Amino acid sequence: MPLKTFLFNRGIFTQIIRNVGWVSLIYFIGLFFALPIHMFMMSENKDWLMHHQTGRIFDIGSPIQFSLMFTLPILLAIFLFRYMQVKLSADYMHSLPIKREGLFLQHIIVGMIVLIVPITLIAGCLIVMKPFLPISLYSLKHVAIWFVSTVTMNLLLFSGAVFVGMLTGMSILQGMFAYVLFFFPAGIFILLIFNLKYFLYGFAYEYYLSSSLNEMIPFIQALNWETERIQPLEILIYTVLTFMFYGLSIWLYKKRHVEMATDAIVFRPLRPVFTYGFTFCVMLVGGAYFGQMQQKMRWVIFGYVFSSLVGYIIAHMILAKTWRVFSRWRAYVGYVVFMSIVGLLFAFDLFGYKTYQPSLNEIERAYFGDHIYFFESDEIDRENAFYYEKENIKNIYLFHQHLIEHQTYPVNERRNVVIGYDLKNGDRIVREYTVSLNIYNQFYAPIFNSIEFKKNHYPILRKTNFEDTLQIKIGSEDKFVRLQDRADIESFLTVLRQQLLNETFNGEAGYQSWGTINIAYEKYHEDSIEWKKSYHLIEQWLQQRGLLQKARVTADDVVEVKIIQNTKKIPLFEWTPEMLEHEKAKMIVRDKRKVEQCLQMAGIGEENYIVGIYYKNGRIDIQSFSKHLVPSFIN
Amino acid sequence: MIQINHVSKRFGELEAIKDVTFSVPKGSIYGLLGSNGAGKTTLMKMIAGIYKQNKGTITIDGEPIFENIKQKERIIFLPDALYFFPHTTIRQMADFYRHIYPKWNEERFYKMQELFPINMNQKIHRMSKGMQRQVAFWLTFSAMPDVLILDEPLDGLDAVMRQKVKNILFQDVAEREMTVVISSHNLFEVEDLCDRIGILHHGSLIIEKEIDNLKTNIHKVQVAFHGQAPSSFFQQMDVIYKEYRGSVLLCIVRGKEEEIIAHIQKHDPILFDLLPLTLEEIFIYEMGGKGYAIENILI
Repeated sequence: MPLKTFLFNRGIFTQIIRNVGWVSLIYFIGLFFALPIHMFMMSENKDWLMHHQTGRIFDIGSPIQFSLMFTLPILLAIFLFRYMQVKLSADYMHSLPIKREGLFLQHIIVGMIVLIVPITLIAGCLIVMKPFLPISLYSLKHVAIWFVSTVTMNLLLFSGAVFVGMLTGMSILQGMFAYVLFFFPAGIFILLIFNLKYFLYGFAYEYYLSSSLNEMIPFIQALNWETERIQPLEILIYTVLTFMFYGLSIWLYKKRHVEMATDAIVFRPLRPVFTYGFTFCVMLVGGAYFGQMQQKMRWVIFGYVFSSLVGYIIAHMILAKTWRVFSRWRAYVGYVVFMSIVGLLFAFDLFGYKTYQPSLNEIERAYFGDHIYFFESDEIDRENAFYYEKENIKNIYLFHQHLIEHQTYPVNERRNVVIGYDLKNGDRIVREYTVSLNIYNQFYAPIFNSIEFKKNHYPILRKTNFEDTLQIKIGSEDKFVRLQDRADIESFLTVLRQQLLNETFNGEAGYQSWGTINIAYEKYHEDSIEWKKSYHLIEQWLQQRGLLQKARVTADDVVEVKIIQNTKKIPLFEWTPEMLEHEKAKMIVRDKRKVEQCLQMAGIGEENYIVGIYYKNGRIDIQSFSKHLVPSFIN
Repeated sequence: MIQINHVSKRFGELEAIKDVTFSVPKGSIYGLLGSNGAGKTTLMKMIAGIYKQNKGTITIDGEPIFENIKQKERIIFLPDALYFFPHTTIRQMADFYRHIYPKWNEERFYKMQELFPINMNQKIHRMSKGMQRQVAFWLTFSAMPDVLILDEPLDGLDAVMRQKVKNILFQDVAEREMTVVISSHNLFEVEDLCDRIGILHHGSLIIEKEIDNLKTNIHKVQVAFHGQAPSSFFQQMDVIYKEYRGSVLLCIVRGKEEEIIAHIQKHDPILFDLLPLTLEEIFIYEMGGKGYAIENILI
């Protein structure tokens, strides 16, 4: 008798089913349309069917499947526990001779049945209809995986929504909190990272924005099931979380006061947590938004003040359920004072983050690049961006030291620099800076000129055996030469390797290239190297063999070169042949020797002069001269 | 037997019930009076085990009521605003009650159809407020509770129905020793029902009395003398209130009826009348000394 009333009561059970049974029906109809009907529709068209022959059932009717999966469990939790959020029914249900554990268990058991039954029926349908499909679209194992994944995710979302329902007395907030619950862990982390970058000079925020953050959001994980199978660990984590949410829910439910129905936050001690937590989150969103849009500190500060105020007011409006909350400004002043102190801690770098540098002899290897990618990626050959040689580590270290000592925030002509260290004790340190071009070049040059840099940068310098080389193509789309003779290939490769090792940094001249050098190896491997105009050894080699005319454009291909002084500083990519026609030329060059000089120096970079090259075949090329590299005949 | 011992309840800043103590003996009807917001409903919800008190104890037959299934099976709380599951018929609700309350009496449920002339397959939500209240009583009486807690129960019932309900109530109290707590803001409504009455004001129980006791101990006296009333007349008599209407003296006197009559006869009045007081008058005079204006407490 006591067990009967404690665990199961037919009256309550029937009542709950009557109340939420429709969710089951909707889920079944939705899935029935998304899967069995959809598959038969597809079976009319073989191509359509073949396209989905991956065995992944999530791939079929996925928009319907996922939208049901992401909404129904949460809706169900709201409807099931609606009785707690309405005063009349809350009083009524708790006047009945049923313990809260009993009420709770019966509600979640019915909830789980309501979710699992339609999924089971659809899995059954899939198994039954399999022989009737014209091709084998899935196996029984696929159905089992689909079933387990769908059930696990449904129960996780359901239990989470039940849990937040215990914290609030309003159904609409229960729904909102349910989504917040699952986005929050990743979301707050991303927000913090996006905001820290405005306060911590050198903060390598991209390093922390790794894809593993996505794994913390179950919705994104579920969407991956279209292409990847659910992992056993995933099932385990979700199941543990589900039970944890149930456990917490029942614990909270027993502490909950019935009269708190319709209150935004049911437990009083949680109200300040909600108010300031909400204010803080909205503040971070505002800071990140204005920072990202305007890239200026004063806009970040404006974003903080503006959005924290908005957040604070909204939080109070939700709690008090009225918009007349403007008398509660005192606590906000307290919040501002507190946040200002926290802000100052970062601004004055009391944690020593901005100035921290390990001592030079602790460093095992150093990373230097314009992006974080190779620092964290295990897939790519790591040697590409790490430096082991003492001299290079020291140069990188000195660059870092300079950046720490001269904090700058350049606006134009800047480069991204990522400096990282792997220490001998296993620690990793990484910083990211934006550096003005001239400082960058100054520190980049010694690193660039080192042999280790070249080896890191050019795979061809790391390769030792070239017997598998099939051919080498030198040139551009219009003009190129092909080397297929073994002796030619070997001779060229020797020169090329020498050329690359000899290459020195000329950062300010911009980017001038004749085309690419493409080396094809066996097994479809290949290697592409920019054929820079400064590669004199290559030029010489081609010249000696009379191949230069074939490999690149020369003065013989050119009718004339029109040089325009770019007084309006119009960016190169905006120039069109029509604009060239209309613009007054500073000079038109037809002399072969001067044309050749123009070809040698034209490139893509600073736009002091715009250079229109008119070819004999009618093609028009628009390039530029930078102020550092201008033919001598232009004064 | 309901025992309420130093019970307090707060809603945030608001102290809704302040240190209330009283008891309701088995088989009696207790009237809880007070204006809107006095705390009647809160107190009753605590007795019904819905709200949990912050301080004090509430026991029914010696057991705390909160989350006590054994006791809650014997209690029914009928709130002033009724709740029924959405879209249910009387029959469906009856089935629900049958599964919930072990003493449910199906025979009685059918029998009572004569008293409540409503089709039991009708949806409750479509009914008028008065009919819904009849349904509530119908279901409640069929569940045969030992303790019945009624919050403003007679609102919305017509005079005939009120009498029917009162009759069943009396019958159950007399036959089954059902214990009843009934709240009202209207003294007349419960005057003929209750054995005992408590008045709640701003969360405190300011007065608690047996009705019979009240009525036998307080009297309205009209007397007239030749000339002024002798000064010894007021001595030895507990006069709560006096006023002259012409030569007739009207006073409210506390004490035993025979003693008062004997005392007055001694002074040889030319006119003497001993009149009964209404409950309302009793409270007005009882509480006059406590500094409450009765119209603030009872409407």
